[in-house]
Amino acid sequence: MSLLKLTHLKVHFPTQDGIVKAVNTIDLDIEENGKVGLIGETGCGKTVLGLSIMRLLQPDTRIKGENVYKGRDLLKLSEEEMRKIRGKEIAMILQNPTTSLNPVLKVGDQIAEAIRLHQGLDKRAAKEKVVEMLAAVKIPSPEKRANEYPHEFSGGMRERVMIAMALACNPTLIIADEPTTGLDITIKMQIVRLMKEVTKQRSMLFITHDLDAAAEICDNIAVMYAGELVEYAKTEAIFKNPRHPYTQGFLNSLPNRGLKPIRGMSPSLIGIPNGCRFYPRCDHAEAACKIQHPEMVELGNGHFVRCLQYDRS
Amino acid sequence: MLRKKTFAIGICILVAFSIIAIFSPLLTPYDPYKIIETPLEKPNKNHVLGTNALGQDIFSRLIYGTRATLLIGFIGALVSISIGTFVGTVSGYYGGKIDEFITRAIDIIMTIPMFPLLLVLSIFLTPNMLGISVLMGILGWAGFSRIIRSQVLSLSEYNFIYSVRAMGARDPYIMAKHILPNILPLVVVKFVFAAQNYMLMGVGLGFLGLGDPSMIDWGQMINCAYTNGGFALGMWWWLLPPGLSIAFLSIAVSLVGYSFEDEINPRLRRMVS
Amino acid sequence: MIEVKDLRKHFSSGILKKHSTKAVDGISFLMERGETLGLVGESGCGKTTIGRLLLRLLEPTSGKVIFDGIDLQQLKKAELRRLRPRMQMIFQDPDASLNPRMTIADSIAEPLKLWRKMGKSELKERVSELLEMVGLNPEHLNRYPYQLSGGQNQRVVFARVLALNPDFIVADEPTSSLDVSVQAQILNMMQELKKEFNLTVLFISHDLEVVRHISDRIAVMYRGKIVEMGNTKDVLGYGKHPYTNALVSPVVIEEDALLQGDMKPVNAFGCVFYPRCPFAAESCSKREPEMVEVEKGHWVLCDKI
Repeated sequence: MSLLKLTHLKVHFPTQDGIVKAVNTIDLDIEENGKVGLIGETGCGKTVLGLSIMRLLQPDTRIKGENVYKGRDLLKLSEEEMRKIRGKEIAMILQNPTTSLNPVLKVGDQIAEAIRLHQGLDKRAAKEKVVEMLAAVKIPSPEKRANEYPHEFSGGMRERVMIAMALACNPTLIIADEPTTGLDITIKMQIVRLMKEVTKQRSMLFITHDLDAAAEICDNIAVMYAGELVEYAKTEAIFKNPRHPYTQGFLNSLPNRGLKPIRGMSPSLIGIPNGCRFYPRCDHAEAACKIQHPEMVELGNGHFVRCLQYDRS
Repeated sequence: MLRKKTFAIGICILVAFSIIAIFSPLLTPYDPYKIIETPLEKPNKNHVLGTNALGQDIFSRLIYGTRATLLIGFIGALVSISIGTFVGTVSGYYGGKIDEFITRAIDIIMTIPMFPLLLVLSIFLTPNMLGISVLMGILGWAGFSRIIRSQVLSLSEYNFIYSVRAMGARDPYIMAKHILPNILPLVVVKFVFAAQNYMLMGVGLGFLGLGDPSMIDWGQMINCAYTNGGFALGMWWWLLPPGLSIAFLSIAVSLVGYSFEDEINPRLRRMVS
Repeated sequence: MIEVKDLRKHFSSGILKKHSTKAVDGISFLMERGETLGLVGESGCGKTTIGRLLLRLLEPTSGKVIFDGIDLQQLKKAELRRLRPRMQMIFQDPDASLNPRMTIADSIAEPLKLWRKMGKSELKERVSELLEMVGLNPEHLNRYPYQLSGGQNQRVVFARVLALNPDFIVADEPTSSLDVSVQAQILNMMQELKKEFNLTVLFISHDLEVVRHISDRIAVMYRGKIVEMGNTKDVLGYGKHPYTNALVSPVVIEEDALLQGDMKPVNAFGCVFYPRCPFAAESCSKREPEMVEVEKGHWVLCDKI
């Protein structure tokens, strides 16, 4: 059963240089207990997508489409109703733990904040819960660490704190935005493991540009390019049998897969041309690709791709 | 938009004052130094603001006073900002012992109360306007230099500075070509505020009777009015115009300064942080 | 080409300069002409400091760097300056490596103006030549760094650095802030340019896969020390040091056994890796290990080998 269902989601925001079409007609399902990896490069709109689910974007942002969570369209809720969902139903792990934690508050108090906001626990009970959470993310001597400040934590430990904060109210869905970026490889693997463990009974949207991390955690992977999804499939299928030229190119450009670059660069999200968005960089491009914007088609077995090669309708 | 408007208003007022200062001789109906009328005239057809205790035309003196105030502010700011930029840049760029020495020196300088020292010095040295404004500048660079130093310090850690060093460029070249342009916006803002500060200080000195006696300045005018019973006699046309002029000029400078700051800050932040 | 002898750099902090961090702690290695040495390590291990020490952009606490037979430490400022064009550096964040107030054309022309006396037209020609070499168009010339992408800016940095025909380049994580598809472009370009200019390269990175791809030899660094060094194949295929192996296949390591607690204080006497090492014995905490040559040209810093 689908827990979160995005239908024709569009997020546009006006800037001085023009309208940034950060998210363009995205359809995505996250099932109960499902883990979806959202893969994309800088500026493809993946972070905006995550924030738009939580409705955490600037007020002048234009969001269209549907964003149905447990049968309710989040886009239609009042701010007060939405507030009750944030943290409690859907929690977010933000990018960059260094700036996401308040440097002048004790780590324990920051986690307690979230707990007290939603669960109405008194101070002592909240404190106990904090220690429990810190222990759950495997921070050694949690009672002591709860009374320390963020700068006393290393990068990996801070990421654990972020995870503990997200888990504090026992949310059903977690949106994790680049939780492993900037971590050293030995630390990264620990965090990935931890995330896998703590999300066993939950759903997650795992936003990242790190394919290895996503592969470790997610059942399905959605590949995003220039504001839209270009491929969606089971994790294994993405790795073994990528169909979209961008996914193929992306995989081939990884250092352990040959380091073969994709020529050119990602398009700006302002003034996106008609036709296929990957067209200027694509080796399989044909004349039609420049004009006709491909639709997502299913190739069977839950493998979707947005490319005219497969779009024979 | 608002920022642009405040800037425009501020600049207009400043330009107006500058024009008045430059063309004072053409704008004044009488020689401000000459005794031309009976003392303490009320405002009338011939003398818009009446005459003072010596029988000099107050309006003419008011116009001439613009010169002294603007010049003191400008020269003072020029001196202190130049020294401050130089010292701060050298200190922040070289770091190490040089920086430590300069920083300590600045710490000490900053404990000296500036205004009293200025009072004492201007009593001892023959007060002349140029001397006073240079003196102000010399006394006032330390705090500014500290701000510049911290900017340069963080800028020096930037890779483009390392890369020019690795290229074998000389230090003065790097400071002039790479550091200075990047701190220039800050320097401009600080210049404007320093100028404002020195103008007010100049007026203060004048009011205390420590200004250049050969120049006419607004502070001196107020002092004059005060000591000659302007207050007691209720001669507002003698007291109020110089006071209002100072306030008006100071506000104009503030408007320019703040809108500069607003304009520059996001850019500075983008670059330096 | 490059010889590093027992190089050390300690940074002191705190009001009384009591706390001293050993960013680089007694490092020695040799580099042949035309070779690429990959220096791998995690953040804070001192690899960036080494890069800067090698070019004497930082003064070492002790030790020597010998560049093409010249001891850099002995040089006077002016002599060092004259040597600069032969050794260059490329940094991690390309956007911060260019002066934001200079156009691309000015940035590329700068080294030429500093060192080569050439007329305006000749300068212009050389700049376009360099620009083309790194795969940019003349239309980029009058732009500013903020108008270009990270990958494009990194290309500009390469053009600028190569303008002086250097012999030796320190590349400090040149692609780590770039997207993978662009990273591959830049790395490939770097490989080509390296051949063309017969460059000696110290390639600093935290990404083993990248280093594997472009290095002849690899040095693995941990907390200011080189713990393993040798041919790329030997180190990554048959790594001996537990830390190297942790980097190569982090998945294999049992949960938290090896890497529990990211940062424990380092024991003053023992092995630097002791607190995180799964094979640590009591003796490791007491005695500092020494570099051993396990095969020809393959060195490991571990007592358990």
